[in-house]
Amino acid sequence: MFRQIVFILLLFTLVACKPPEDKNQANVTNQNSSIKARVEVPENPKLGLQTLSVYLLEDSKALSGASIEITGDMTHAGMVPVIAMAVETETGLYQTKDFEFTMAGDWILTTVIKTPSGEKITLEKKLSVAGN
Amino acid sequence: MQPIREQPRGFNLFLLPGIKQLIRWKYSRFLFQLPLLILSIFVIIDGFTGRQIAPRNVATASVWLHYRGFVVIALALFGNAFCSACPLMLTRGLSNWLKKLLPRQFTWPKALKNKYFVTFFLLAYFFTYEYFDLWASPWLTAWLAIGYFSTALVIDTLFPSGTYCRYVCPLGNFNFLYSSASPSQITAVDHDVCRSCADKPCLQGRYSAQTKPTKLPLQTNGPQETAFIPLTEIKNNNGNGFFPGCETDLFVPTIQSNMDCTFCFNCVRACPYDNVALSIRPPFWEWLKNPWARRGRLPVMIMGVLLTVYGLMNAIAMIPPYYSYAQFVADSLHTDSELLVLSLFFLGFAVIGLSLSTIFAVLADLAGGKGFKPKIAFMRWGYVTVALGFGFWTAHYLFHFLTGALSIFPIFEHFFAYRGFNIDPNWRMSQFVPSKWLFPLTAGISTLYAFLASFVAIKISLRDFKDRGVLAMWPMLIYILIFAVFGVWILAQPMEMRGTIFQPSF
Ligand code: SF4
Ligand code: SF4
Repeated sequence: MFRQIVFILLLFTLVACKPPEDKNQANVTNQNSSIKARVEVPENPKLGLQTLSVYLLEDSKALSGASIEITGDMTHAGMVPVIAMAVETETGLYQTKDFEFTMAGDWILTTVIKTPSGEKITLEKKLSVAGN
Repeated sequence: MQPIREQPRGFNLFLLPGIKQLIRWKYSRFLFQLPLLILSIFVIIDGFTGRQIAPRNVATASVWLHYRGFVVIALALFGNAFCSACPLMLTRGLSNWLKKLLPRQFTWPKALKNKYFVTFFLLAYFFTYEYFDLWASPWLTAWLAIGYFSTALVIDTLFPSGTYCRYVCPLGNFNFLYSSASPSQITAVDHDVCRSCADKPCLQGRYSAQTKPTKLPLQTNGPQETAFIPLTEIKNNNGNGFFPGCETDLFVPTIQSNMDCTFCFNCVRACPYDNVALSIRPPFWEWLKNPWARRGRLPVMIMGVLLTVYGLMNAIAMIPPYYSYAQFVADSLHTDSELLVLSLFFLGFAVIGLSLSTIFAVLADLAGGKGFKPKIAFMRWGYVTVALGFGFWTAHYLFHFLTGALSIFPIFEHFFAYRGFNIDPNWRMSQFVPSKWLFPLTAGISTLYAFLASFVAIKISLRDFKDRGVLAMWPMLIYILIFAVFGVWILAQPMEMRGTIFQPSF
């Protein structure tokens, strides 16, 4: 029984009083890398197809040849995620062609970048999409 | 104790091969609770330490999507399976131990021995859900789980076992209320056996062994020692020791409602004569028997009507007209306080819902020639609103469930990937049925229950008004039509999943 009480007390120390910082919260750069990435979304994004852009730099030079996947999730569990590849349209600039905001509301974009050297960077961006 | 009453006489599910033996086994409930206990541990770990994105976290996905979907499916097709498997009751070992440290057992205050308190709790729970966007926060969802476990522990330590389930637990009371729509119910196999059963162990528990010990445990619902029934008297012997009776005070041969029945099956294990059945019944059976007039009474019906109202509100809060109207209210009041606007909405919905259901009930009574007695009318016809409410909750929860049920696989993959395992979650796995099926399916379910509600209204009017029943039913049929059309309109709206009325939920 003593163990059960200790377990419950440990749980309380585990949670402290504020939500944990997300490992992937940066929405501009990954601080520990020579690679800098920026995800750009149109101002006041609307329902429907939208072009999302990712700028990629390595040591301040445009980085070519990366593979980039962007997943859009709504803040409610279970909504079908929108997944699109961003393709390189000019050196260091990658854009989606078929990313569609399927519902108005709060969205979280998770951008997974795999660089030619094999480095994996994950960025997160939160935004609100207006209804029509 | 209420007199023995007519009970459903459908097929006894315990007669299915192996089921009776399993249920009468002393540890069967623990077996049922184990899966949800394991899930709760995942919920708490991922909620507190996982990625704080609702669709990618076990806490938010399993609680707000899978749990709720399975709850309504189980209630509609079977019964109160989730109370049966409730892991909160696993705190019972600890609470029984803590009880011994207390100077005395407290009694639950008489003023709270009704469903008003838990109805208030339910409303507070819905309010918190909207105000704090619980569905969008893994961290708060994990806290909610901790809150449930701690409250169950505290209440059942201080007060008699079963107090938490019956008078405090919002989830349990949601299940109790809507298990009135379920096609199964605990019944006595043979009422004559119950008549000659002296100790009523299904209610008070029993102790069985070869020889009587010097000290026996106390009755489940009484101050005396529990009955000793020697093993030789037990039909289909299921072991030695103490078998508790019904903690929510239900006496098997009198049960006419699933209200307060947690499907714990204590009664099945405790009955020395193996005389308890789980009988199949029509899903409307209970609504036609007026059982809440005898147990629970007005507060239960108020809870039923309010749950229907908040079922509508819960869905309305996800469609664009809600945000426009909320903005209009905020502008009119020159406020940007979500607390204020949400409180007004909750109050408004409660007043409108209770008033409309009473007005139509009174009109039906007047048409049937019964005179102006709002409380009696409300109690008579309230079951119709409960049927409508269950249909709408089911449609709403199934919408989410069918949209994302399969996401449970990538979410668990992500749980491990996030902690360093080399797994690549397949986020394309999510939807259970194609999007184009969602509206026909959900509107179909809501409409099906509107038909069931109409059937209930017609049967009640013919039962209580005889020849004038053909007049009495019309106000209720119009009420059902209005509800059904409004419900389908809500389901047809494009969804807008915003966390708060005025700002995003992050
Ligand atoms: S213990 Fe069994 S026989 Fe006795 S009253 Fe209860 S159900 Fe009937
Ligand atoms: S003991 Fe009571 S709550 Fe449990 S299944 Fe039997 S009647 Fe229902």
